[in-house]
Amino acid sequence: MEKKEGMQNGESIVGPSVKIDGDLKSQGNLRIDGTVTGKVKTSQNLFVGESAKISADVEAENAIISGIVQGNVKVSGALVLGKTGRLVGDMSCGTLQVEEGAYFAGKCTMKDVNGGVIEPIEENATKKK
Amino acid sequence: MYYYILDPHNIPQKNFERQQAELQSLLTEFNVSGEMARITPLRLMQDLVDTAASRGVKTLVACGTDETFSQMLVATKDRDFTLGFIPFSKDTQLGRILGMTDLHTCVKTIASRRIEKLDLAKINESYFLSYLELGVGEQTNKPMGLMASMKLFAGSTIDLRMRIDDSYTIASKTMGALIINTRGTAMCAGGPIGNPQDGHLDIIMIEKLSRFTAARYKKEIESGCYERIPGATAIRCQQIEFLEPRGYKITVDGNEVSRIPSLVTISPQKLRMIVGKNRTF
Repeated sequence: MEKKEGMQNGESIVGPSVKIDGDLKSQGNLRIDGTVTGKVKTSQNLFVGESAKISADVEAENAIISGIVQGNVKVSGALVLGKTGRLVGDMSCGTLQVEEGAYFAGKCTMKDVNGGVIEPIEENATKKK
Repeated sequence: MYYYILDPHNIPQKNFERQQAELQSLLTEFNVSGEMARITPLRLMQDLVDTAASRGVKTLVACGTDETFSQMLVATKDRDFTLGFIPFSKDTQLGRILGMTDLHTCVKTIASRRIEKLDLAKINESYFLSYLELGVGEQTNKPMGLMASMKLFAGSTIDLRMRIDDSYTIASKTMGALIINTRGTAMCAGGPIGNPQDGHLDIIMIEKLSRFTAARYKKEIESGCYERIPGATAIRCQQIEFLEPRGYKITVDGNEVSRIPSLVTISPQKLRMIVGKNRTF
């Protein structure tokens, strides 16, 4: 998913001066440049613009984050944390791209190519030593 | 049987009578049967629609202005009619939307009976097929001079607050907004916004613009294509509850239909409508 796609095909757009409070659900692409508190859920692509401030749990198929997100992010496909993006919360995604300059504080879980979740490496090896 | 309701209101008498005669001649030419009735101070739209219902008429055709059609929508009161519209005025928003702009095309379309099911939107007790206007939205499809538009855009913003789908609240400082079921602008045709068959309303809003931006996007503002202006908001929904500013007027084609607070809903595919080949959806 390229950044341009999110801007051009955005079916729903939340402008910079708009404040949303509650559960924002969308069936199509969603672009957020304003402030959202509550929950954000879309079955398609989410683009969080540079001026966006989201204090909510986020769910989408693919997402590009270039603004501020405080909350857990769950993406089934690709997640891109842009150079101006700030994510404070846990994220779960299919594939991940973090650009230089991005800020992330939280836990990250990703599915492996075979569809399972990669188990964390146990500390047995260090103990044997 | 077709029942044509002719409304001379807001049409110069000479013009009205010429159009009525032309309509009768075209209906004969295209072999379209039906009965004509004219609105008078003693026989209002409601009386004529009730008469049509009692005679078992299935198709009503409003002949006059956009307001004639709005009155017909209200008068049908959820009864099962197929509706048509023949504009007697060139300045018709609805005619552009439905692809019914001149008498010849209208009668030809009615004769071929091209019917589509459309969503019907409602604000409080008034129905609308097109869109609601707030703020600068009221100037949509009304050409303005550069000075008039500059003066308008320099005006104050509206502190709009609304509850959407009973799920979330939107607060915004906006210059203007449109709540669209469908819109008759060729400039923004083809996009996902304003499809009257998708079961949704589209909210589009613009923020306060600088003079330079307002001048640059003057055409988009005038034609109501706000989604093409940077910083605009576009949201799809099925129900809008306007909460604030209380007492602010909401218009359809420049005519006040309600004041805030008010509730807007949509009934998907509720209306059976005769539409032309050149419709905008």
